[in-house]
Amino acid sequence: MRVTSFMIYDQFIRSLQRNLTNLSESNEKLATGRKINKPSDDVIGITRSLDYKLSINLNNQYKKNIDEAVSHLSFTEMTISSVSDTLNRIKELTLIGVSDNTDAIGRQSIASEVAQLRDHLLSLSNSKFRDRYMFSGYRTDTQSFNPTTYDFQGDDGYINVLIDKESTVPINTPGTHVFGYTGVSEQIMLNNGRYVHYIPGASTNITVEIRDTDNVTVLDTFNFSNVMQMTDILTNALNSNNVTRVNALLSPFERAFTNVINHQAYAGAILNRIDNQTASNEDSTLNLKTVLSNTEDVDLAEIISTIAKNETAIAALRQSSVKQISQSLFDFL
Amino acid sequence: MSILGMLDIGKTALYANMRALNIVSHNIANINTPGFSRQEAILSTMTPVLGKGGMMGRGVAFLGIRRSYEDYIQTQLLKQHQNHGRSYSLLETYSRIEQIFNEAKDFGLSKSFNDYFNAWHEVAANPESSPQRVVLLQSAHALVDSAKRMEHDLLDNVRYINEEIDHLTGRINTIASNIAALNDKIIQIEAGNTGSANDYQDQRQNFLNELSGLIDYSTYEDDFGNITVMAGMRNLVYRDKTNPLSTKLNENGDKELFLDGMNITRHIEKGRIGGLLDARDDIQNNLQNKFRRIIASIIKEVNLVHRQGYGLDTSNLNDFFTPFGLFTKDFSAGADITATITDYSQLTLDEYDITFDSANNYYVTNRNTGSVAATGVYVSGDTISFEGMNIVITGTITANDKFFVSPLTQVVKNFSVAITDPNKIAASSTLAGLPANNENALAMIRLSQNKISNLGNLTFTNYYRGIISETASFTSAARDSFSFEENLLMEISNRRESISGVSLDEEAINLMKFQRSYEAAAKMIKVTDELLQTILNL
Repeated sequence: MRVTSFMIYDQFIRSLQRNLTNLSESNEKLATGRKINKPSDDVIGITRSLDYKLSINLNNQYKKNIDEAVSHLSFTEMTISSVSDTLNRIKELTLIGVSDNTDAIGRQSIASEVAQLRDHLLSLSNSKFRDRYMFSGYRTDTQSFNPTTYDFQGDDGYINVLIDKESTVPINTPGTHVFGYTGVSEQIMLNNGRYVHYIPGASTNITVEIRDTDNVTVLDTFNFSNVMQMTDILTNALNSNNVTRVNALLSPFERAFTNVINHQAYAGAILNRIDNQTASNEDSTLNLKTVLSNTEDVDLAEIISTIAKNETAIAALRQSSVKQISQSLFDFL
Repeated sequence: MSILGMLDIGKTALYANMRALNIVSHNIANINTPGFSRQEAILSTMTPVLGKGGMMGRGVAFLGIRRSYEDYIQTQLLKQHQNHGRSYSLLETYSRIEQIFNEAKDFGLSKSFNDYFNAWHEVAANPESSPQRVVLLQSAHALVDSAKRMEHDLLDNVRYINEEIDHLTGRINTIASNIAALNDKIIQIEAGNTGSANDYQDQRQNFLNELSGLIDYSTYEDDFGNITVMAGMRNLVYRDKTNPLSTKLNENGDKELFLDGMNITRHIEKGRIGGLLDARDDIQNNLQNKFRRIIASIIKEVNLVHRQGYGLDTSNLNDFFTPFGLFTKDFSAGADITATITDYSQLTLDEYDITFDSANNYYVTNRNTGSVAATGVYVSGDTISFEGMNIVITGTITANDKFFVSPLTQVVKNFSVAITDPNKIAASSTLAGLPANNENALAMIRLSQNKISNLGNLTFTNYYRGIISETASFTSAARDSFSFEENLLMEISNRRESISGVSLDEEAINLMKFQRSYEAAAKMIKVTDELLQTILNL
C-alpha cells in the first residue's frame, strides 16, 4: 500500500483524538466518582441501579414508618402499663373494702383513693400523643371516653402503617380493647349466700344482678362497660358502705386486669416484631447500598492507572509524531 | 536525421519535463486540498520517422495529465459517507435524548415519582394532620413539573430535528447547484477534446462526497460526462439544472421533504437527513408515546383510587389529578368528531382510527394492537361507544372519511393537580372513618407496586425502567455503530488516499527527476548548438 503524507498526519490526529477522548472520559469518571454518568454508559447497570435506588428509597420510607410506629407503640405500651398498675391498686383496695375488718369510715377513706384512681384511669384513656387521642380508633380528634358518663366515643379503627412491602402494623389500640370490659355470662355465690349474675349485653355492656339467697329475687342491679364505669360504681359502693356491690365487683376487676396485662404483652410483642423488621430493613439497605456502589461507583485504583496509561500513550504519540511529521525528503535536498 | 532534428528533440524534452515539473508543483500545492487526486504527466515517444537504417526517434511527446483515481473506491466512499452521516445524526440525537432520561444524575421521572408516593406514606401515618397533606400536594406538583419538563425537552428535540432538516436542505441545494455548474464546465472542457477536466472532476467528486454525508442518492454519468443526481427517485441535479429540495410542514407540524413536486420523505434512509428522520420517527412513535402512556396511566390509576376515598372535609369522588380528555383529528371534508371519556376504568390508553368505508358503515381500529375495537352501521346522530369512550360525529360523512382519537396526545400538556385544598385529599376509605382512617392512602401506596394492565401488566417503575433501558441501549448502539462507520470511513478514505493522495517524498523525487531531465535536455541543446558552431566554422 502506498502511504501518503496525509495518511500519516491523519493517523496521528485520529490516534491523538482517540486517546484524548479516552482520557476525558476517564477524567469525568474520576471527577464524579461514578462509572455510569449517562444511561448508555452501562445499559444493564443503569436499570439495576434504578432498581437498587428505588428499593433503598422504599426502605428509607419504611424506616420512617417504623420510627413513627415505634414512637406511637411505646407511648401506648407505657400508658397500658400505667393502666395495669392502677387496676392492680384498685384490686387491692377492693379486697380491703370487702374485708370484715374494714368499717364504714375505713371504706369511705378507701373510696376517696379509688375516686382518684378512677380519674387517673380516665386521663390515661384520654391520652393524647402528638395531638391525637390515642384510644379513639379513627376518631382521633374526639376524646376517647366521655369525662362525665365515661362512655366510649371513638370507634374500632386501627391506623395501619406499612413497615415493609407486605406487612402493616397498627400504631394505635382502640380504647374498648384496653379499657372496655368483656365478660362472660356466669353466676357466683357470695359468702353471705347471695348470688351474683353477670349478664353480657350489647357490645361490651355487662349487667350485674345481685339476687337473694333464693337466687330469684333481684335485690340490686347495675351495669358498666369499661373500667372507669366499674371504678365509679366501686367508689359509690364504698362510700355508701354497700359491701355486696363491692364484693360483686371483685371478679370483674380481676378479669379486667388480666385483659390489660394481655394487651401490654401484645404491644410488647408488636414492638419486638418491629425491632426485628428494623434490623432486617437496615441490613437490606446496607446490602443495597453496597451493590449500588459496585454498580455505579468507579474503582479509583483502576481509573487512575487507566489515566496514567492514557497519558503515557499520548506523550509517546506526540514525541513520535513530531519526528515523523517534521521530516520529509525535502530536508535532505 | 539532421542536427536540427536533435534541436527539435531537445525542445520536446525541455517542454515535456517543464510540464511534468508543473504537475509536480501542482501536486505539492494541493497536498492539503480535500478531494484532490494526484496528477501525473502522460509522456510518450513522438511518432518516429523512417530514416536510413530504420526508424528514427523524434523525442518525447506530452500527451496529457492523468488523475490517479479509482471509480470503485469512490463508489464505496460515497456509500460510506451516507452510512456515516446517518449514524452521526442518530448518535447526536440519542445522546441528547438520553440526557432527558439521565437517571444516573437523577434527571428523570423516578425521583419525583418516588417522592410522590413517599408523601402518601406520610399521609397514611398521619391521616388527620395537615402538614403531610400539604407536602403531598407539593410533591404532586413536582411530579407534574418533571413530567412537563421531560415532555418539553422531547418536543424541543423534535423541533431541533425539524430545524436541522431545514438547515441541511439549504446546504443540499447549494451543493446541487455547484454540481450542476461543474457538470457544465466539465462537458465543455471535455467536449473540446482539450483533455480531461481533472480538477473540476475532483471538485465535483468532493461535492458528491459532502452530499452523500447529508442524504442518500444515486447517480449515473452520461456519455458527455454529466452526472445526474437522484434522491428518492427524483432528479436533484440533471446536467446543468437543479430541482431545489424543499421542506413542508405536515399535519403533525413535522418537516417533510419535497423534490420535483413529490414527497420523498419515505425514500430517504441514509445520510444525516435519513438519520434525523429515523430518530424523529422513533421519538414520536415510540419514546414520546410510551412516556405519555405512563403519565396517562398514573393519572388514571391514581384518580380511580382517589375517587373511592373521603377527604377530611367529608367530600368524596374527587379526582387527584385533572382527568385527561381525548384528542381528536378528522380527515373529512364535511364531518366533525367529538369524543368523550365515559368510564376511565375501561380505557386501554391506546389510540384509535375510526374509518368509514361507506357513509354509514364504520369500523374502529386500535392503532396499537391493530385489532378492530368496534364496527357497525352508523345512523346520523348516533353515539359510537367502545372501551369507555363515546364518539359523536356531526356533519356529512362520506366514504373513506377517517377520524383519529387519542387519549395520549395532549396528556402531558394538560397534566395538572386537580386538588387544591389539602383537606380534599382522600386518605380515608369510609365517611365514618374520618379523620384517622388511612385505608385509602394505603391503597394508593399499594398502587405504586401494583401491576398496571394498561402498561402491559408492569408496575409504573418497571415500565419506566423499560423506557430508560431502551434509550440507553439505543444510544449505546448508536455510539457503537458510529464508531464502526467512522472506522470504516477512515479505512476507505485511506484506500482512496493511497491511490489518489499526494506523497511529499514521492513528489520530492519526481521534482529531482524532472529537474535533472530538464537540465540534461538543456545541456543537449547546448551540445547541438556547439555541433552547429563546429559545422558553421568549417
